[in-house]
Amino acid sequence: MTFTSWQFSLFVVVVFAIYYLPQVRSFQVQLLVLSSLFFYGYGQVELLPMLAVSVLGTYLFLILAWRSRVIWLPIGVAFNLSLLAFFKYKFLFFDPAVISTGSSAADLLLRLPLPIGISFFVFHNISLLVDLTKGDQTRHPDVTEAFLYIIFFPQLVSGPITRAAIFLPQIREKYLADVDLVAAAKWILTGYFFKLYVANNLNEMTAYMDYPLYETVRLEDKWLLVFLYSYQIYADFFGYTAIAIGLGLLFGYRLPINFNLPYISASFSEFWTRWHISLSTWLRTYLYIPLGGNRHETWRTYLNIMIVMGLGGLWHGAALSYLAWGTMHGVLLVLERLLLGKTDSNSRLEAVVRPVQICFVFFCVSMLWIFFKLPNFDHALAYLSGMFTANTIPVPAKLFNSLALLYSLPVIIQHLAPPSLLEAARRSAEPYLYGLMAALMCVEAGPSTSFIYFQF
Amino acid sequence: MNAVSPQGWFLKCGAAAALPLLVYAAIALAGPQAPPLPTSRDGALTVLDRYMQEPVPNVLLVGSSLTARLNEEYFDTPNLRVVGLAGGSAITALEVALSRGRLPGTILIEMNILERGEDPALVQRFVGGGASTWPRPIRSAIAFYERWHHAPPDRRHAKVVAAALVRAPPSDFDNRIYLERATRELSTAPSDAIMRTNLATLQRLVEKIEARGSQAYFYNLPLAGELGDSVAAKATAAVAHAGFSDDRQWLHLDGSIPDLRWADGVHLDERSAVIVTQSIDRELSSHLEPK
Repeated sequence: MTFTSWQFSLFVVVVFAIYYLPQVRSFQVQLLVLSSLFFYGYGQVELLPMLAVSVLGTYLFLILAWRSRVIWLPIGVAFNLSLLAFFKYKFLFFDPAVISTGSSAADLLLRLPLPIGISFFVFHNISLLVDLTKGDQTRHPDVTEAFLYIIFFPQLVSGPITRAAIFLPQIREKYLADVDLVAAAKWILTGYFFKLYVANNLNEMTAYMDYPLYETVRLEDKWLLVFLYSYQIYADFFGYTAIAIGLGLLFGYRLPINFNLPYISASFSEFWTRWHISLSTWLRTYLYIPLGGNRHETWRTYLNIMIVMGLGGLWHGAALSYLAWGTMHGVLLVLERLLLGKTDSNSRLEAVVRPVQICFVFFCVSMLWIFFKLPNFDHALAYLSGMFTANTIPVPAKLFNSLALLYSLPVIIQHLAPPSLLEAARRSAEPYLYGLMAALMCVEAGPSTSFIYFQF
Repeated sequence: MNAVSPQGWFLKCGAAAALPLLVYAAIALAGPQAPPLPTSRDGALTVLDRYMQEPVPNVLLVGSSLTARLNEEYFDTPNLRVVGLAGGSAITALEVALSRGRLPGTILIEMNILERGEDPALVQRFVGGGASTWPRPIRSAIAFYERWHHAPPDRRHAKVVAAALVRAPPSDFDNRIYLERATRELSTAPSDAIMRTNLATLQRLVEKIEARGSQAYFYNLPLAGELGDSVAAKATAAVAHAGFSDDRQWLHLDGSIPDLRWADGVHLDERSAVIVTQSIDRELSSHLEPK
C-alpha cells in the first residue's frame, strides 16, 4: 500500500477515526500495531512472518541483553545484520529462477522477494537493542511497544529512522485535543505536493536516463537530466518523509526531520547534516563513533569515514554502483577535511565563496546521483562518459526545457528563496499557499510511480 | 506561533484549494478535450491524439518510428496523415483508427516490424475511453507554447524545403557504429509465433477495413543494404508476404530509390524520407488511378 493510493487514504481515515475514541484509548498502541501489520501485509502477506521473526527475535535478544549486554547485544545486532544481508544480498549468489536445495522451506525462503523497508526496520531493531541496554535506561518497553516502535506504519517502509530513545518515551495515551492538526496538514500537503507535482512529473523525463534510452539523448539533455534527477530524488524522498512526519503528528508522535535544504550545503560534511539526516545520524551514532570516530590519528579518521560511507552505500543495495556512490562521497569528505581544514575563513570573501561552494557541492552530489539512478555500474559509467563525449545521435529524444523548469521550480524556490520572504509569506498567506499547492497537485499530478526509497 | 485558529486555517486553505479547482472543473467540462501532453516531443500520445482530434483524412499511413520519419508536408497526395508510433506498431495505430466512425479511403500499412503487437494501454486510452479528459494547466500552457514555437512549416514552404533537400547531395554522415549495432540486433530472427500472432491480428483488422469499404495496402520501407538482407528482415518479409500474398496490395519502394541514407542505421534521414515520400506518392497514384 503506497502513500499515494486511495486505499492508503481510506486506511488512514479509518484508523484515525477509531484511534481517538475514548473507548479505544487504552488500546491505542495495540491499534497502531495491528494497523501497521495490515499496512505492511497489504499486498505481501507472505512477508509478515519474516517481519514478526525480526521483531520478536530482536525483542528476545533485548530481554537477554538486559541480563548480559556484553554477550547478547552483539548477538542481537548480528542477528539483524544477518537478516539484512540475507535478504539484500542473497540474489548475488542464488538465481531465484533455478533455486532447488531439495528442501521446500529453504527454497521458499530463498525465493522470497526483498521485503519492503527491511533496511529501515533492521536499523530500528539495532537502535532498540543498543539504546535500551545502555546503563542509564530504566524504562523497559513491553513487546507491543517494541513492535510499535519498529513497525509504526508512517515510518515503516522508508523512515525516517527514529532512535528508540527518542520514540519510546512518546508512547502514552493520546488525545485529539493535543494534536497540532495544522502542523500535520502542512507536512502532509507539502509531502504530497513534492511527490505528486514535482517528483512524479520529473520522473517522466528522467526515465530517459535509464538504459538504453539515454543513448537517444543529446549531450546537453544528458546534463539537464542529471540535475532534474537531483531535484526528483529530493522531492520524492523529502515528500515521503514529510507525509510520514505529518501522519506521525496525527497519531501523536513526533518523527525526526530528515531533510534541511540539502542543496544549499557549502560543504560535503554539511550536506550530510542536511540530507537523509536520520540515516546520517544513525550511521554516526552506531557505526562511526563505535569505530573510533575522529578520536584517533588522522588517517584512522579518514579510514572510518570511508568505511561508514562505503557501508552506507551498500546499505542501499547489493550493487557496485551503490558502493561507488558511497565510496566517492567518502573520498569527497576526506578531501574536504584535507583541503578545507587548512584554509582560514574570511568573512569578507564569504559572500562570494559560499555560493561557489554551494554550486560545487550541488554539482558533485548531482553527478554522483547517476550511480543511484543506474545501479548497473557499466550503465552508470557509460552515462557519465556520454556527458563528456561529443554527441552524434541523429534522431535524439527532445525534452521540454520549459516543462522541466516549471516542475523543478518548487525545489528551487524552497532552497533559494530568502528565508525572510518565506517568513513574510507564511505570516500573511500561509493557508492560501497550502490550498493552492493542494489544488495544483490535484490537477497537475504526474503519472503514479512508487517512491524511490521503497526499493531500499 | 499561529495567529489563525485551526478552524480558520483549514477554512482558508480549503477555500484556496476549492476555488481554483471549481474554475478548473468548469473550464474542463465546458472546453474542448485536453490533448495528452507527454514530456518529450513526438510521442505516440501526441500522434494518436492529433489523429483523433482532426478530421479523418483520405489517406492514412500507419507504422512504427520508421514511418514516423515520413513528414506529411512532403507528400504530394492531398489530405494524407501519417501515424507513425515510435516504439509502437501499425496494429496499435490501426486499432485506434478503426475506432472512429469513418475510415480513410486508403490505408497504407508498414510491414517492416511484425514482432510488435498492440499496445493495450494506448488502445485503451483512445478506444476504451481511458483517456483523461481533464486538462493539466501547466502542460497545456507549455504545449500551446511548444506548438506555436515549433509549428510545422506550411505546405508551400515544406515543398521548397523538400526540393532543396533532394537537390542536395546525400549526407556523408558516418553511421557505421549505428549500422553495426542494428546489424547485430537484426542478426537473429524474431519469434515466429509472435509474428504469426500479430499477422493474424493484422489480417483481422484488414478484413474490418475492407468490410467498411476502404482499401488497405502494404509497404516495406527500405532499409540499409546490410539490414535489408538481415535474418530478421528476411524472416519478417517472408511472414508478411505469406499473410498478404496479393501483390497488387503491395507498394514497391525499394528497388528504384537511389542515394538513401540512414543516419542512425535504421531510420531514414530527412533527405531520404523526402525521396521515399515521393516514391509512395507515385505508387499511390498508380494504385488509385482507375484501371
